[in-house]
Amino acid sequence: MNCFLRSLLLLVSGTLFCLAETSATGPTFQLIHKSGASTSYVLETNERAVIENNTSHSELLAKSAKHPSYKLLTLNEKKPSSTNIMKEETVKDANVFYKEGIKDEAHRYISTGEIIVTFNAEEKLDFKDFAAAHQLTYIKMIGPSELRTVLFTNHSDKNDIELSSTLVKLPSVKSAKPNWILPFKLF
Amino acid sequence: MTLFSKHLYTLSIATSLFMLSGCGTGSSGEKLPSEDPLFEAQWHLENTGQTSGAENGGVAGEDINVLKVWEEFTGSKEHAIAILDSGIDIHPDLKDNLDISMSYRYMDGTNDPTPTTDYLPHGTAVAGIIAAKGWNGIGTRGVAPDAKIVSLNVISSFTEANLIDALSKTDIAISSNSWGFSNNDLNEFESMVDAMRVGSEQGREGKGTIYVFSAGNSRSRSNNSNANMSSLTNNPYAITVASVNADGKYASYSNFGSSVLVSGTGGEYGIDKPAIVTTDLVGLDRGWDRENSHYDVAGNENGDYTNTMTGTSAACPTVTGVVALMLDANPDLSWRDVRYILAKSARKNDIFDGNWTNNAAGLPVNYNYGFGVVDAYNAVEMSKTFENLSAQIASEASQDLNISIPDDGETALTSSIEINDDIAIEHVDLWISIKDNLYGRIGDLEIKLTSPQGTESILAWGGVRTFGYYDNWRFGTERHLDESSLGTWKLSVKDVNGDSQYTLTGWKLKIYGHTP
Repeated sequence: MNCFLRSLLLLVSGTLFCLAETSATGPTFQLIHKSGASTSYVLETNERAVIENNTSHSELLAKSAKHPSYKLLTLNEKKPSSTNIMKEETVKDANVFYKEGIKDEAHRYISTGEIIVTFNAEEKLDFKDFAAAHQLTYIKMIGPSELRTVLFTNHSDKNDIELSSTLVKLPSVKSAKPNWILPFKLF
Repeated sequence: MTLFSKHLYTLSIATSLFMLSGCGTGSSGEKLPSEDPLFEAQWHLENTGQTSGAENGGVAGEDINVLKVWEEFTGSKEHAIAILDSGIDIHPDLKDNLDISMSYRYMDGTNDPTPTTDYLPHGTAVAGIIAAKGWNGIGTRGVAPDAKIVSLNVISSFTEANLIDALSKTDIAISSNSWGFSNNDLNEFESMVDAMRVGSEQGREGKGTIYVFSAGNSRSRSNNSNANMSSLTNNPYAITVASVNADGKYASYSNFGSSVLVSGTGGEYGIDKPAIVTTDLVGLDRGWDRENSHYDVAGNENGDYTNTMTGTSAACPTVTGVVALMLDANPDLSWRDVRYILAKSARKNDIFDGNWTNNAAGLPVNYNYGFGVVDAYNAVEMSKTFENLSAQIASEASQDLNISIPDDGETALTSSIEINDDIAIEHVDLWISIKDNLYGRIGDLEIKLTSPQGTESILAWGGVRTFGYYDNWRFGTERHLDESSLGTWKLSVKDVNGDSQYTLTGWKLKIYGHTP
């Protein structure tokens, strides 16, 4: 982020408004747009993971035009891959999210391109059919079948958060969220 | 007497004298304390006031009271203990108890139990506290020195899917969890709580997997020190463990709260006051030795042990080890029985701490300690003859509201719920929804629950920095153990800073227990 944008962020003023998408069955995803002096756009999930604008304003506008309901920005940080985090090697760029916009390790969520979905108990679904219908690939069931929790790979043109937000509105879905790498702490 | 018979006679006399001196193994497999050279530094097992390499020692007697237990029970290979952590080294003091075939490393999907780097000794240290082999002539001794341990290396790939998988394995008897999340906000992971629910129902062929969790180490910060801010440490299934030091008082870092059940011995940092002596990664160039904190004592020439393990990370496995001993004494204990016995048998420590109170059932309880420091001997004795608790029953009620919380900084909003069932309480859950006009500044809110008999549970202390939203957030409290659920429960919510506008939109109570 350049100094100009950073300075604007510090001058938080103007009107704060929320466009909320609610679901009767599960988590909600909200877009918060700080207007006025700040041009920072943030996307807020039910877990309040916030993506902070870290690119140029023109790039932001271009991406916003493509996906008007959300703002997603790759932070151009090289992070260990989701399956190799402890090998301290850079494998690929990953979409990185910072909760509440706080850019430190404690608030960092790294997307993996996987979505974890819990289905309502009463739903009798073929998970592979469900995957095909939503541009997902079925990976596996997580835990005992009673948990009704399934891991998918996201092959759609939506990012993990947007796709989760779409899936969670389905009647069969109890919850859907990115299977991101969480900020752990060994006590 | 021939020369041979004289030698034989001398040998027999010497042997008799040797056995009488107590320098060997006694009859009936009696375990004697002299056979692990670093045992003397393990104050958490027997506190004699030793320094364990720190500048000062602790207070004699402030330990988990385990010595007499070992005369009968040392842990069983029938009850696998999963250590969800950074992996377990193939260590001379652990390898006999480590089950590699049951271990799993999520990073690469292998059974390799070992850490992925030399910078992660944490899991190895936890494993040693639980089950370092005893009386083998080397190193340290675990709380349950013959127990079976399994590595589930979730740190290698710390995703929600992997954590759900690790927490829902039904072939695990005890799950030991010395980890959490690094931010001090609300950490809601009901999916993991659901996994624990399944484990509690299906593990150990229906008797239930037992979950032990560290309460967290945030006490010295201005932020969130309340164990009730994480789903993992406030749910009905977790045994949430705070930490005491070698003086028998809460450790400088230890989290607290209504959801703490008992305390274990985590020590301090090993500089001014003792930490915990346990297994490190093997070798002088791995683990804590890399940080120039080699424990330079006889018996640790190879750098296989450390004296700086600390935290609720260390306290949690002391309780895990006690649970292993309890199951060794009585394998028929259910997961609820174990929680109940631990609470009822805990030792009231730090008796002058002003937070001690008796709940309405007469049980002493403390936000800092739960029901006290784990007492291995009392817990095992109670386990031997314990009659299983009757089937779990629950009662719930809720209120939908739309009431503004006063913003004068002094007046609390109160609301009541009637519970019409008489249940002997084991755990209480409370869900709350509050709308706010500011961006997640829930740290302003003090939230209390009072039972019909007048016992108070502070669920959230106001005036702390915490981000999050009370959007059907679940709190938990252990403080009403053995009370009756019958009557009017009161909720109190106060904006301690008085500069925001909050609205209570609803709350729900669910009480778990058994027939009185």
